[in-house]
Amino acid sequence: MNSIEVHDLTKQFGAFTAVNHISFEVREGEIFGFLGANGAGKTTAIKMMSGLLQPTSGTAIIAGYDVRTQSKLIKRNIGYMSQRFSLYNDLTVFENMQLFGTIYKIPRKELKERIHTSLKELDMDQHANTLVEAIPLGWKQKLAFATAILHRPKIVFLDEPTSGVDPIVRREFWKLIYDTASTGVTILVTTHYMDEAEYCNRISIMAEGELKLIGTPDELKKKMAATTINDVFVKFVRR
Amino acid sequence: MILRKEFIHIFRDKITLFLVLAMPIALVLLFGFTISSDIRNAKISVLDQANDSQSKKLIEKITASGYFQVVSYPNNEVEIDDDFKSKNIKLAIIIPARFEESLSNEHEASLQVINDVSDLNVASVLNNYVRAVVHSFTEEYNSKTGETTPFDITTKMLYNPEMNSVYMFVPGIITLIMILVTALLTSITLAREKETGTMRMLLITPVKKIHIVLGKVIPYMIISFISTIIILVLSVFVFKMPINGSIPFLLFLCIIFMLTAASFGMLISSISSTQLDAMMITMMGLFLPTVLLSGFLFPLNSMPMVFQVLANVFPAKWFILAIKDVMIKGAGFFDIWKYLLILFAMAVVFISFSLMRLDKRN
Amino acid sequence: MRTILILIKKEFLQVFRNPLLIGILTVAPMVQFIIFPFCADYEIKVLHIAFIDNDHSTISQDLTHTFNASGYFISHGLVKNKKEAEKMMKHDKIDILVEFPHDFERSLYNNEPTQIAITANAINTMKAGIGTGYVQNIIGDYLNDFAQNNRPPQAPTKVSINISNVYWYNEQMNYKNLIVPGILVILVTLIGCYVTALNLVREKEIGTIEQVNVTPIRRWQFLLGKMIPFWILGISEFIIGLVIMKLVFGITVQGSIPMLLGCTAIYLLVMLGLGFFISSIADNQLQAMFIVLFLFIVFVLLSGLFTPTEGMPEWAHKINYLNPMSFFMNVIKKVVLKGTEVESLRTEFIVLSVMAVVINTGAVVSYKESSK
Repeated sequence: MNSIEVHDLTKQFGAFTAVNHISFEVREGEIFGFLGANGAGKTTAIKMMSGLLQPTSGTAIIAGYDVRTQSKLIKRNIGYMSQRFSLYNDLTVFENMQLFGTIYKIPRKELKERIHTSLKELDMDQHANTLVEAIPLGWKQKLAFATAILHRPKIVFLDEPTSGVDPIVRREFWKLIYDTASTGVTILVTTHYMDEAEYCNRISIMAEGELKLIGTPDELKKKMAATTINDVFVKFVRR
Repeated sequence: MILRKEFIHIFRDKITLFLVLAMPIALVLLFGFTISSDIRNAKISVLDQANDSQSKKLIEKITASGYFQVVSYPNNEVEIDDDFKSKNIKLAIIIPARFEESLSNEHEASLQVINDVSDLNVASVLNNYVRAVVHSFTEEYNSKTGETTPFDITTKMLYNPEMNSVYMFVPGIITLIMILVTALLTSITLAREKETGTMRMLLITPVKKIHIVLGKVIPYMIISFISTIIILVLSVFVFKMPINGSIPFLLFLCIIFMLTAASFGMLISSISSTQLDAMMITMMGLFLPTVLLSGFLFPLNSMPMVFQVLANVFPAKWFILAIKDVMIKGAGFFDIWKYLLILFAMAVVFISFSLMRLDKRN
Repeated sequence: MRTILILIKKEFLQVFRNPLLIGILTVAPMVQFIIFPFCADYEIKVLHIAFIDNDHSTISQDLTHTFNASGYFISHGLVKNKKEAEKMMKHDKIDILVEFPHDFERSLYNNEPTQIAITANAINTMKAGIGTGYVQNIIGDYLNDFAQNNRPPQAPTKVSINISNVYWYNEQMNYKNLIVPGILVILVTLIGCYVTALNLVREKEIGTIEQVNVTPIRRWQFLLGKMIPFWILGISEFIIGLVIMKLVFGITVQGSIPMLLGCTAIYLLVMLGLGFFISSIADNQLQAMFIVLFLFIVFVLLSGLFTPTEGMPEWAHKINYLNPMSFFMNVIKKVVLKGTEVESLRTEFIVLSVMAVVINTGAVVSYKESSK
């Protein structure tokens, strides 16, 4: 079953076309990678799919709901983590999770338990009452991810989740993604680290607002006669 | 190089640029058109206990003066109180019973005027009007009996014959705008560079420190200079305010003050670490004192001594004194060199202090 | 409901963890209360005056002494000539100059016309207007008395009308009684508008608002969660202000306090809504600050706090119908100083309520637009 179905999705800002007629599907439980240089339109596409931006034209069905008319239902069923760290720095770890958990209407008692288990998995339970501004960036990213899946969404959108993070934390972060996907959650992740693309089930490459290539990492490597995704990307850019 | 970068920043943020240039225009127009000490059609009540031909004549005279508009004729003092509260009248006049008789028999009568002194200045102005109207009423009454008052008082309003309130506010607005634009924007952009860490990057380059700071400050000085010219043009052409002194000298004075304001901005940014800090310190340390202690809105010599002394510390007071003298009284360099010197000295102190702070940080 | 409560909790936690904001909320009002009433004194208490006496007669000398007796004037005595007097005026030593003509006394005795000239420094029009008024009254009264006492016996008696003034609502004639309640208005406005506008724009700048926007939360829930904390803060500040007003300045509220608080609550809603509206159109804190500051100056100017509204042209009065501060200022003046009954506040109450509804609807709509 497909959890994301995008058809001819387009976004224009005045005369500028940020996203130009993109179409693709993502199956349930799949890790789908969105690759492309800065300004290729990845963030705009994600914002449309998560209901933050209204598309200019085209359709997107997310978790069975239409982004144009059912954005409220979509929002209830997705998790989102943006490239800018956007938890409250002046609240504690627990307070942040409690705030967002409550907004998603998780019952009080259950919320406490979920926060507790989630922090334990991250090995952060002793920092529950630390102000977020005081914890290191890598932990902040993991915390943001944990907060984004606290309400058990069907789909999680991750917009450059690992930018500026050291390789060790990146690997830990990808383990979190795998663990989450294994429970049947669909993950759509954007990145400009090409090595990360190898971890995805399928990837797509965007440029100038258009979806240029799509397929599994192996398919793309074969198609472009390359050994790594990085080569794929370099060859694609040269073309 | 840094100069160009800053200009690009400014022009990219079009809304801010618009606000910065449109604000002085709106302020001058508003101040100029709305503030006037001349009160017309003030609402009043008249309690006419006499109700005779002379009392009616007096009321007629009051209405004809144009200063007053009789909105109600209460029957007793309790109703006067109601009028003050619900009809918003500014004063009430009580004409006593037997007004006409008193005038013709006892050659004397008394009127009672009740003032709403919740605003003292309005009350004073209106009382003067009442006196003038009553005076001309008695004159007329007396002239029928063949007597005239032999004396006459002429009044000359020096420097501002048309009693135009703009004269008082234009120097103040120029000061305010220069402080807002130069000091506030300087302190905020410098604080922003510090907040984002780009300041450190600039400081490790071989560019001289003073050049970095100048590069940040000059664009804002130019913008506020443009605002100043807009204000001057408006006040001369719309409000017919004269510039009696020399224009180049006036502009020179403005540049000196801008330097002082910008250096104040630098000082503030050197002691604050975020934009919000810089904003708050500028508001509290510069904007409020400028409004309150510069003599722009509130006469300095009515204040307690402490504040009169405190006012000397802020550059705005000296600039307002200087610019008023140059614009309105036509003063030249030798009349106001003291003020210029004070402003310049302040700038030197502020700049050297903030450069010292910048040194220490690295 | 739970959503809104957690948002309120979040906002309070953030406020109390921000030392700068705490500073703004506590120190700023204190400073305003301590400094403002002493500085923002618009009343003309002192006028510096000098005389040119071309007559050197008993009457002219007597008249100059009369000015010393009146509390308003500080006399700088006689000045030799016009040139010197104008120099004094140029250097702001004197505000008003009175010149008695040659043959002043003789003309008066012979009942011949004579002319007294007053020159005023009119840069401050208010000062000049009131000042020359005082001078004319003093001279007029003096000369009328003189004329009564020296009229020839056969002449008919001239009538005179005495005017006695009674001062209401501020018997001590204290300017602080007006300015202190005015500060309350400024306080409430700044907290309502300035603090909230900056708060929301900051969330926009940092990016936290995006994380909130992606949740299924409703716009009005989010705005309400922001509004209630600042509304509570604003009311608390107002109450503290009332207490300071009573204890420090001895000004007692003449009218009904519940009514006053009710109007304040609604006025705060207007200002909060305005703050949110501004934050939805501004991109960064600097812009928000400029817009708030500009509106603030316009509001204060038109509200009649520092300048009388009576002297304004018709169009300014019309604009004033859109100025929430002027309605609130009316409420404060009426309730605090005059002790107006609840019924006569109906207009202000209705207008403020309508404004609150309109501006908050506008804020919700424009916030929706801006997050699309």
